Amino acid sequence: MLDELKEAVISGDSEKSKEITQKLINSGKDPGMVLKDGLIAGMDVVGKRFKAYEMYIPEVLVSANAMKSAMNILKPLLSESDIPSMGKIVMATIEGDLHDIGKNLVSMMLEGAGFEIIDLGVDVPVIEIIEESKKHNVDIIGISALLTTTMLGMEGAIKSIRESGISAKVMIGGAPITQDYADKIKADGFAPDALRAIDLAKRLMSV
Amino acid sequence: MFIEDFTLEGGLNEEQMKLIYERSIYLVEKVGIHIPHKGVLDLLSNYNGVKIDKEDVKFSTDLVLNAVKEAEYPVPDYAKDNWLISAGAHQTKFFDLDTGKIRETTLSDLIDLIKLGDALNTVGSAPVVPLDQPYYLQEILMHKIAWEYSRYRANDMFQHDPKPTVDAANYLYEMAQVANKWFAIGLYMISPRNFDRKELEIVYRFLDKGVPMWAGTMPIAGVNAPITMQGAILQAMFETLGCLTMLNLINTKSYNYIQVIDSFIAHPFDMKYSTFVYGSAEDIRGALHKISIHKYYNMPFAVKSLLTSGKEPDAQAAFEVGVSTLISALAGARVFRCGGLLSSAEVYSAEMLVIVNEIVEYIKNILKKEEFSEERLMVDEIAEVGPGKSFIGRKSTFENFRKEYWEPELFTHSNLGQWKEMGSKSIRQYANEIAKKKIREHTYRIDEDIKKELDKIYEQAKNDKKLEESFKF
Repeated sequence: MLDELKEAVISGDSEKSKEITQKLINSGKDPGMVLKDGLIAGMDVVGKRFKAYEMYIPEVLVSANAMKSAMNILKPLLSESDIPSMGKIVMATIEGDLHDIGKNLVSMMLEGAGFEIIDLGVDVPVIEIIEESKKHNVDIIGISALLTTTMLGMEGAIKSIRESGISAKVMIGGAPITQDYADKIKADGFAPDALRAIDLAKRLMSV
Repeated sequence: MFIEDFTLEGGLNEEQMKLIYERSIYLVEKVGIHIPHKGVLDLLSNYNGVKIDKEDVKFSTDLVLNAVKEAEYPVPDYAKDNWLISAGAHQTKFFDLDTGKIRETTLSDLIDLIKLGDALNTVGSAPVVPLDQPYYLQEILMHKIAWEYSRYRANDMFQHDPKPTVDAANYLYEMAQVANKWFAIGLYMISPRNFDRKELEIVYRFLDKGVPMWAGTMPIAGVNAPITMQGAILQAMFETLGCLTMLNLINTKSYNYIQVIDSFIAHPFDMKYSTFVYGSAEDIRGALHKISIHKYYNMPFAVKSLLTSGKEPDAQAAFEVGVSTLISALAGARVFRCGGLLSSAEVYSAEMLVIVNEIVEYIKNILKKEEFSEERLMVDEIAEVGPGKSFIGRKSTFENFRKEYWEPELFTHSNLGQWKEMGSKSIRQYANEIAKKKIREHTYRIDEDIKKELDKIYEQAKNDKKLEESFKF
């Protein structure tokens, strides 16, 4: 049945995921094992297929939803140590910028990959980014900008973040951003798309 | 007498277009748009037919219809009977003409590309951002260089960029006055139904200046607009009409209009690569719907047929641009946008601009108006030139061959042997040479007295701390 659960997650079937999870719990299966060998195993396959351009964003998102629905059943039964979190990330569009398509996609994909996301929305002043990052003790701060004018605020934002004493890594993204720019303003990483954002976040967590 | 123009049949019918229009007005009246600016809301509150709930604003049907009726479209004379290319906007990456590598754009690129654009008679915004210049001067420089080195660039309604800050907009306004160049304030909505507060502030601060203002939007099907083409177009129309209505009520000292480029169209999004997609089948189909609607409502339009997902000036780029432009031209388009852009507007290429110019010329010549007459049937010629003789040396051939045959500059008709003799160059290599030659030989400069005035204003801008600060948050 764990394989069935894995398949339900891969196919994005929320109802089936919940049903099988409940059955497994009722049958005495260890919740940690259900999570690891059912839900996470399913999302791993999804992640690999998405990376290989074999799955599409809406499909990944429904798979993530299927996992989330099943997690709602498991969470009360799991100890904190059982719940894997890849890391905590604050996501924000830089102050002055209202564009959030990319940020939202990246947030959803990171969540699907097991990261805990605190999405601060758009037009976020750096002081708010710093406060929320401290409050949630995040591992990574993700900042995006769509405009060549607003991306200039990233340098100041990174400087302020460093000066605040937070140890979180900063990753940036958005249409006008390049690796050169990210290097110039001393960001810890740059991802040109949602897929690479997941890889980058995992890499930053392991440093 | 002329042979009838070739056209495209099919697409949205009258009933379907009217339904989309009615539904969009319904949405403006019943759902409304979000206007996060107190000053604008205060002005709107003076009008009957405006319902304001915090920052959500609904406009009555009468107000919308009035805004559409009162809209004016400043179509320049040279756009009325000509085929035009609008050549790119605000790119930050460029294919270096010498190395072929992609790198960041510079002031030198801006100057060269404006020269190339002028040599090709293009219109539209400056093509690239001079990233090697102080950020607060970049937009000012883009206009200054466009005006100094070209006749048409950044000087008409095909120039579509919003201004970055109030202070920058003031400098651009001053420069436009001195140089007698086009100036308008634009508003791009942020789908769904929202605005950038900063852009609203610029609109608000310019209301007393009596400048034209335009409404535009760029919803993306399946992301911030419905996944269906019809739904996404409806979202675009609803937002644009809402924005136009707002402008019509507050910008009373000048006229307002719907931007001719990003109006009643939705943009496709690739769900595998999570990227914008241009030049796709859906993109072209969307453009056709836009053309139908604009024509039905007698509004001028431009199409983004020169955009492609191709990463280089290659077969994909040429095919997508060629097909998109030909179909759009058959549907009635004569202004084609985004010449020179590649990879869905991620990178600029001078070679690609030369190639798209050739593609547009090619298509123009397919569809050119052809006279039909007894004289052109050449019955007497046919009777005179019999077996063993040739038409090639005839006076009629000599007098007419240049008119009857378009001579391409790039897509040359050499045979294989001739091509080898001329160096076996690829199209891209050839386009590269043409681009460099046109840049080298470009001569247009703005009047020296005007340049001096622009230089003075630019010097002020350079030393203006308030301008610099206006770009910080």
